[in-house]
Amino acid sequence: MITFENVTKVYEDGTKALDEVSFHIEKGEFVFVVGPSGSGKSTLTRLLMHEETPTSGSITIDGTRVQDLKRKDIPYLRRSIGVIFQDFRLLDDRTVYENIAFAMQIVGASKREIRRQVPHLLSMVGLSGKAKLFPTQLSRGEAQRVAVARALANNPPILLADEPTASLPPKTSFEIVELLCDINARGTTVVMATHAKEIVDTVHKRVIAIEDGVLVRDDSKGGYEVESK
Amino acid sequence: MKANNFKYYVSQAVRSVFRNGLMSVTSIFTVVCCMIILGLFMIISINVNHIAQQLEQQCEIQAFINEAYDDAQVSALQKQVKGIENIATAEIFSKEDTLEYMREISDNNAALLDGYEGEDNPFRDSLKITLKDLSLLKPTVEKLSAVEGKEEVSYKQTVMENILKVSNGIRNVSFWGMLLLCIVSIFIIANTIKLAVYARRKEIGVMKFVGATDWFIRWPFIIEGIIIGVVGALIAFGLISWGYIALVGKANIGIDIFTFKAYNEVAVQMIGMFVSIGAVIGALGSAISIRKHLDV
Ligand SMILES: Nc1ncnc2c1ncn2[C@@H]1O[C@H](COP(=O)(O)OP(=O)(O)O)[C@@H](O)[C@H]1O
Ligand SMILES: [Mg+2]
Repeated sequence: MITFENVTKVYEDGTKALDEVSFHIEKGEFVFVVGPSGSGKSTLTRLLMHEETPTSGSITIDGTRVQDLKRKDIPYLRRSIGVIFQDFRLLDDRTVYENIAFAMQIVGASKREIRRQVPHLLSMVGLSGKAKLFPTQLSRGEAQRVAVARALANNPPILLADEPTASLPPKTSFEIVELLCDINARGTTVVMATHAKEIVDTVHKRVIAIEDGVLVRDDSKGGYEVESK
Repeated sequence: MKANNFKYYVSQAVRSVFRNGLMSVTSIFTVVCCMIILGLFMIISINVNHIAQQLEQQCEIQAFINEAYDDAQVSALQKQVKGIENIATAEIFSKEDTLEYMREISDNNAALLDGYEGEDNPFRDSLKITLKDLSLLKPTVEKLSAVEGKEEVSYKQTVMENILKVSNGIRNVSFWGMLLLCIVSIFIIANTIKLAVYARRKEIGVMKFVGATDWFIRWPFIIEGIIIGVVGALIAFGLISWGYIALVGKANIGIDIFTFKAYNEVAVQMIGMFVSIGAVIGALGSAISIRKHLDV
């Protein structure tokens, strides 16, 4: 599903954010990308979204080399990857319902499709009664659930999460990760960048650890640190 | 462009116009200024052509007759002139007729002409001549000048030439003024769109990571520019129509030698031009802004 081959990313200012990183993620896997702040996790997610291009090496998603995409094809790559962030990125002037519907409008979904899909997504993330609320009226955990629903609106095969729990209290963080696990159980490939040790140690999924841009460990059933294995 | 999307673009654009209220009003105002000058330009052009046509139709030559001629000699002269190629009519316009005509056209001041009757009439007998083909004016006048018994030949071509000269001057000035104002409008619209982009930067960010195409992101801004341009054009059209009707439309005033074009005819020619130029100005303004600030 996702393959990194000797991917190196050097930013314009000379910062080397990733250094010869290689890994392969199968369809349906759940993978944590762990590492301290500044280790290169967000860079990795931005490369997947083609927000940045690798300086060298190659990234393949579902058989397509991402670097080879033409500008006009990039949106279609992004439609195959749902993404959530630490800061939710919801639109405050739209309701929960409209935030999710927005992702569908963008790909040209019809009103009928939207009316059918949004309630389904809301019930999946456990927010059925909150469709008419605005993001400012939600708890942080609920806001992240809305973001998850939006990420899944167009049924992408991949869900990418960049520190989705970093601004949430511990209990809520676990609930969000459980939600991601549920989604993974239904067949979506999930890649979650995080530095939340407790979560990684509890959930026991594959762990790709990066330090200073270098892949230092790839454990199929790992913990956050080597010792905790 | 899907119909679904089109509705979405327009609703987004309208929302943005209102959200950016003050800037939208400013841009609409500059478009209005630009279009009013365009309107003046068009009105002048349309009417100058119209007037020129009328003057051509009526362009009349006056040949004055030697004062010593008696009636018989005058009719002989008339016959001779009528015989000249390209001359349609040659009417005798006596000095009494001339005095009467002067009285008529001087309305209130007609009394000034009292006391010039009979022997004291200062005017001269003349022949009023019209031509078959006006484009042959010059050679015909030359032939006419060769005829004995008439003293000088005058025609209104100079009036027409002067009208054309003045109106061309006005047309040039208003053309450059319009061009300048169009450019100003384009940049003010570009600035408005820049603010609109800024106001919606978060939304645009979401659109990008959810997989919106570049054009899906651009269209609402382009339509917003077009709305500003077209609304400005329509307001200007309204103002100009109001002014034109007030000045010439209903009364169809004119100087006794010509009339202005009726409002309906002017309006038909202007509205299409206004709306298209307004739309182009708006679209150009947004295009400039999108290139610079949208990065899609
Ligand atoms: N746009 C950028 N330009 C220059 N350097 C950057 C940019 N983004 C990130 N970096 C640098 O790259 C390194 C990796 O950053 P990042 O991928 O954000 O790490 P993480 O998400 O693991 O905290 C850091 O040293 C960071 O300062
Ligand atoms: Mg990060």
